[in-house]
Amino acid sequence: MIEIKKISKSYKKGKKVISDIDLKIKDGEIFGFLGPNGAGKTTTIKMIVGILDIDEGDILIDGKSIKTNPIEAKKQIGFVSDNPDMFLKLKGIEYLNFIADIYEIDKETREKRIIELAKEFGIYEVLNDKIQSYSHGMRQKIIIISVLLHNPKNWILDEPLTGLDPEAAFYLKNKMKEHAKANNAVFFSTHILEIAEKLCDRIGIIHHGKLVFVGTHEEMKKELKENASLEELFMEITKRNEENI
Amino acid sequence: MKKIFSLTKVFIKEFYQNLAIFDTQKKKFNKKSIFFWLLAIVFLGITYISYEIITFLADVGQEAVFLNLYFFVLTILILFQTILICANIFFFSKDIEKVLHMPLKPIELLLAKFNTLLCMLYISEGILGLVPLTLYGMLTHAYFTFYLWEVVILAIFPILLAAFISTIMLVIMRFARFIKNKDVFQFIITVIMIALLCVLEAKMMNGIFGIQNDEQALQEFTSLSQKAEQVGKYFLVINPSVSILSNSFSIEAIISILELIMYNVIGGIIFIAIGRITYLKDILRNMMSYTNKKRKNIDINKDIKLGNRRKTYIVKELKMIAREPIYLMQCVFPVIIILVTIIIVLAVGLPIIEEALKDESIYNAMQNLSFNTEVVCDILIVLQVLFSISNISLTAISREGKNATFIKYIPIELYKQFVYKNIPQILLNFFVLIVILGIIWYLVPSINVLYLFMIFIIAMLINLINSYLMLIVDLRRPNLNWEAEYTVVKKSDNKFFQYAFMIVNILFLMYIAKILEDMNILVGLIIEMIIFALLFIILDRFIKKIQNKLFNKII
Repeated sequence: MIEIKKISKSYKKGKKVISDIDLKIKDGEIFGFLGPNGAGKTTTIKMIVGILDIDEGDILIDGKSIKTNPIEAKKQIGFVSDNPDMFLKLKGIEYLNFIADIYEIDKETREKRIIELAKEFGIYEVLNDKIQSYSHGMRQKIIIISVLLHNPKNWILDEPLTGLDPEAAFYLKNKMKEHAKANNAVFFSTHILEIAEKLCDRIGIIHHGKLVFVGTHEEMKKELKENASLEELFMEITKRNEENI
Repeated sequence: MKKIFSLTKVFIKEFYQNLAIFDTQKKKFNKKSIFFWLLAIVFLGITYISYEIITFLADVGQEAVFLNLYFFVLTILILFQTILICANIFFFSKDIEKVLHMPLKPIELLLAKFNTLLCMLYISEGILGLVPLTLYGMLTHAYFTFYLWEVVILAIFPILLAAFISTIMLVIMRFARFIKNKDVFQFIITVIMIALLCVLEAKMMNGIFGIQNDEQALQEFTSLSQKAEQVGKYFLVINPSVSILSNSFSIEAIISILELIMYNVIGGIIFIAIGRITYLKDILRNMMSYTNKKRKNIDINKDIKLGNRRKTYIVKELKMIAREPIYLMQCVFPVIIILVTIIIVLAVGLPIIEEALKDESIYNAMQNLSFNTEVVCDILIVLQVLFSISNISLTAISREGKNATFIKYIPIELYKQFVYKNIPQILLNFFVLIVILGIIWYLVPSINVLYLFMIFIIAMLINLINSYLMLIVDLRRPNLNWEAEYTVVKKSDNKFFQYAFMIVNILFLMYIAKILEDMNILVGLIIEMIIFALLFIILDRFIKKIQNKLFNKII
């Protein structure tokens, strides 16, 4: 479970880029985080995983504060960043081994999971090659595998489907569903509204650093227009917020 | 021709690091720039050293020797710089990929790249070469033609040397097809060329210092002048350049300049002839090298193995340096070159030292050499200078680029990661320390082992403090948004902090030596050890305390 408690962040004094976001992602839920470019999606995600300090408020990962108990909180997180160019000089297998050591996965489990996941994502054959020789999609896959390897309770994914081929995207979406079904939390940001519409139990829309909507697709329809697609609703909400500002 | 100039301009802008020494808007020097002052210090230093050498030589009536020595040093500098940058400029820079789709002839690309190389050499010449030569002209009351020829020579001088090294580079690149991994190849090529240069250097130094006699100083300098002339024969451009400047107002200067131009034209023609055929083909093949690689499946028992966090993290750090030739070249290689040079100089000079030791008075003096705190301070200063050459800790965060955020989201304490990231630098400095202490042990076998051991401990403490401080600098001023690896060191001005720390520590060591001057050496060493141990403990505690704040620039 991820509890975001009234967090705020400002890079310059007096100018908040994230303002009072209050949100709870329950176990068993897939939560889609939407917003236009520069709205504050990545900043929020970076605060959840501990990359950015939180100015006000707190974030609890399975009850552990990322502020005061970061190591324990981070152990409960699997993070896929929006930059798949990780440690390009390492071989795929070396990178996975490295991650397995960092998260202290025993030999038997890591052997089983590496083989299983690499075969499912279709990169088993290239595990012995350096990551720099991988395509963008393959790099994305190795990062996703590294997260699945330690099987954390909470997945946090920043634009995870960008660059994936249809097969791998389908496989990842299924994995996300399975993970949520096993009573875990999945929090991901995306630009692709159709995916959010089909995959998420709830969605949150962030605009100018403020959470302007949280709820299910149905709740959004009720609040705005019936029979509208998520795309139309998204445009409506962001437009309305723009006018308020 | 227009295309070549435009390309050259683009390549130079891409390669050159703007240090903001000159404010182009206000059209005057930028006195706020750290590099303006560094440059000023370098200029003053060179002026002072040149003045001392020229006046000393003039006193013994041998000022002409200066020109031989000057061009010899300039040649070595140009050769070293060319070796270090030409592989990058011609074959491994990212800008090549950006222009390959354009309708350019191979020769245009080749010449634009060669011009880029020459411009980099001219910048070095401007910084290091202009002052000594001008000063020589002034102190020897040369005719105005001297200054005219000076400019012409400095413009022509690097061409043949650059063409020579570049041609070798082109030829070696022909054989690149036998080596599948271009990263390794880039490293090997530089190692081979520097090794060749070191051998040549050793041979030339033997030429200068190999034969010793007991004649008077004047005769020795006459002999030195002749030997320097012999050295000039190794490089065709040295002797004509010396001749032009020595006889700047005579017809000989014209003949020599024609000779100089002829050598450069021949060198240029050979370079162009080889480059025209091979250059573009080799670039394209070089880019495709990965696709040729045979694929090997993983061996489950061998490749999937269990390791502990600390070891795996440190191994990862070492692999990331060892597998990136640019980092290896910028962070590790300079130290190795200096150590090799020290060993070569020593190997060449050793027969002379041995010869000198046969002299009873010198032998006795060496045996009775008092090993006091001042000597310890000198050794530690040398080590501090050597520790300052490498950039491993100074770029430990910047090298990660956008990956640096990884440090923040993995479940390992930031303080521990701080220590792990310092290990490669500490290991390299440890290696330097062992080599230097080994040399001291070899030269002065009578030295007390306990003293050596205590120097080792103090130097290791300095090593730790130096590495920690440099990592702090990189953490507070990281350069994470780079596009090409070579810019991590090249476009970073953090090196200034390393130099500043080096100077502060040298002054500190000198101060300690002064205070402990009359003290027993053992007590002095213990006090030094306690001082540096305390400094390290305070620094370490401080880092642990502010670890979160320390890493807050990584976002």
